[in-house]
Amino acid sequence: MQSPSGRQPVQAWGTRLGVILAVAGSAVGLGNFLRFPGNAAENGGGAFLIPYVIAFLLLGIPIGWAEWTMGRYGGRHGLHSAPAIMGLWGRHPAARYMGAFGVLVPLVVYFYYVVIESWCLYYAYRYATGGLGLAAADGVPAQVALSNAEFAAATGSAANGTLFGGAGAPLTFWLIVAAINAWVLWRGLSRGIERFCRWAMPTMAVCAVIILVRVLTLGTPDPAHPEQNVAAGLNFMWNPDFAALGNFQTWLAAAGQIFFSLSVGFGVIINYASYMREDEDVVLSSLTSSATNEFFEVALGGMITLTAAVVFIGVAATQANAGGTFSTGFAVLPVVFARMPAGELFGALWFFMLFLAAITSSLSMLQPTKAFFEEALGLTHRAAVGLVCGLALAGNLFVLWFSQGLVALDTLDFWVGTFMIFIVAGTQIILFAWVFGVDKGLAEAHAGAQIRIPRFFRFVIRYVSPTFLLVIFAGFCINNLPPYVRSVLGDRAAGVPPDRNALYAWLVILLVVGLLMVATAIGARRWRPDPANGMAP
Amino acid sequence: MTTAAVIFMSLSVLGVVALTAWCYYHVLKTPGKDKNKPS
Repeated sequence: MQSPSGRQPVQAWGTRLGVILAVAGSAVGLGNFLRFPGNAAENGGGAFLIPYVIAFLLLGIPIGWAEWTMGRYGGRHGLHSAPAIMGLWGRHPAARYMGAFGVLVPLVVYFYYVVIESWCLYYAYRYATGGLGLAAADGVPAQVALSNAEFAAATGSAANGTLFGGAGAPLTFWLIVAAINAWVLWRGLSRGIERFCRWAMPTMAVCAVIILVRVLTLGTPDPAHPEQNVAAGLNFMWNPDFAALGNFQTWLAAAGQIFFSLSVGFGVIINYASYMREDEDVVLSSLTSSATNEFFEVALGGMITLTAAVVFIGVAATQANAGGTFSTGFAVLPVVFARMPAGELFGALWFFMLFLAAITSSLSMLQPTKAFFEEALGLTHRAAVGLVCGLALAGNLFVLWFSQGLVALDTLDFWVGTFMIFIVAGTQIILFAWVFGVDKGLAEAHAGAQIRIPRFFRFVIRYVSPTFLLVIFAGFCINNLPPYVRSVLGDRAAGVPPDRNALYAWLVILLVVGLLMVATAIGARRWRPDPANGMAP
Repeated sequence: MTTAAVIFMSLSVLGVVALTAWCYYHVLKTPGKDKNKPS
């Protein structure tokens, strides 16, 4: 069977479970294991779960349903890329150009995500071959300092170009990881991504459960510090501080965690769902992939990371050092493994699990761009894979070279991996609920559905989700925008020049945006109105 | 570990486990629906 253009063989998922695991694999990433526990502990502990569940119900699930439905509807019309599908739902060329951001996000996030992924594989290899050598250092501060030095060497954060003049091990692991990603993309949807996720997701769960059992049976490993035990670790993570619920920051953090964790507005689900059969369920499938993500985040991530940290380094050192995703994963946990019996084994298992979490996400990032180039430029599978991998390679090399302070990586992550996701998700929910119409949209979602969406979600999708999204976007901008704007533009009043690496990262973003807009304009000629299928004007 | 921490942890973990199990039970319970027909 051929696509409407007659040039591409039609791709499809082999099984329904395959698409669910592929979407869940896209959603489950480093944030589930490293960002969630830190976020929860900082913002009310167990009480954090109250706004978290509310955001899951009012934001994550409804936008997920909208995105799955939009994707499957696009696929029915022979469309698989976000610009074409959003043009179809928006019935206006502007929607198509907004859809180009749904290609920008996964492509640019891939530029740095694969680099992070290669760190995980590199660390797994280091642990499998003897560990980082932290056990020789005395005391937590010395071990954290050593751990940070190891991280700086692995990431080249001391200065630009450091990685290219060093021993070459981190670059070798990046090459391995980039090659695996390209190979899976080349094999296609069913034989590549689906087959990989069907193997990787259960493996990741098994690794996580083994580590969880190990952490929960640690007891009190150091008799000199009886206060450092499993119960204290779980208490640190889960003890509710209800006063935090009165703080807007707690609600912002919970909504942000749900929003970014579920990968909604990322441009991946809309593309993945477009390869489903037109009578295939999207309502239960969407809920199942979201539930899988929550299982990894709450039941595994919420139980392992900080519990292990408190058991071995205590509450104070955990609070002082486990501030962000990288510091928790690459500074605190190596210290934990240095103090844990058979730490090398569990360190290797942990970083291999993080690698699986990362690669099941990165695999989903190139497919939307590949589909877009096939659709907009009429490229064959081989040419589209070549073009996407060429762009990805250039983006990876940019991040690897401009590594000083990880500023370039952080800039791409903020503007594209965070800010732009709000824009794409906001556009999608507006198109679904207001332009296409919530009743028509829900009727479309219910075609072939195995469960019904409760009626009150009609109100939620139309009013609550867009408002909720707008409020957290405003809060996010107020909290985070000024320093990132200053890093690009500089601060004349304070005499601070722009950060060169941040500026270069911005230029990369603009370059990719320009490329995608031109490709969208070219593609628009192929997506002319068709009375037979009602395509967008 | 405080009683409140035990309650919040248990409810959260059991909640996501139950939701995930319920979803997969319904996805997998209909044999023959899972496999896509070749196009």
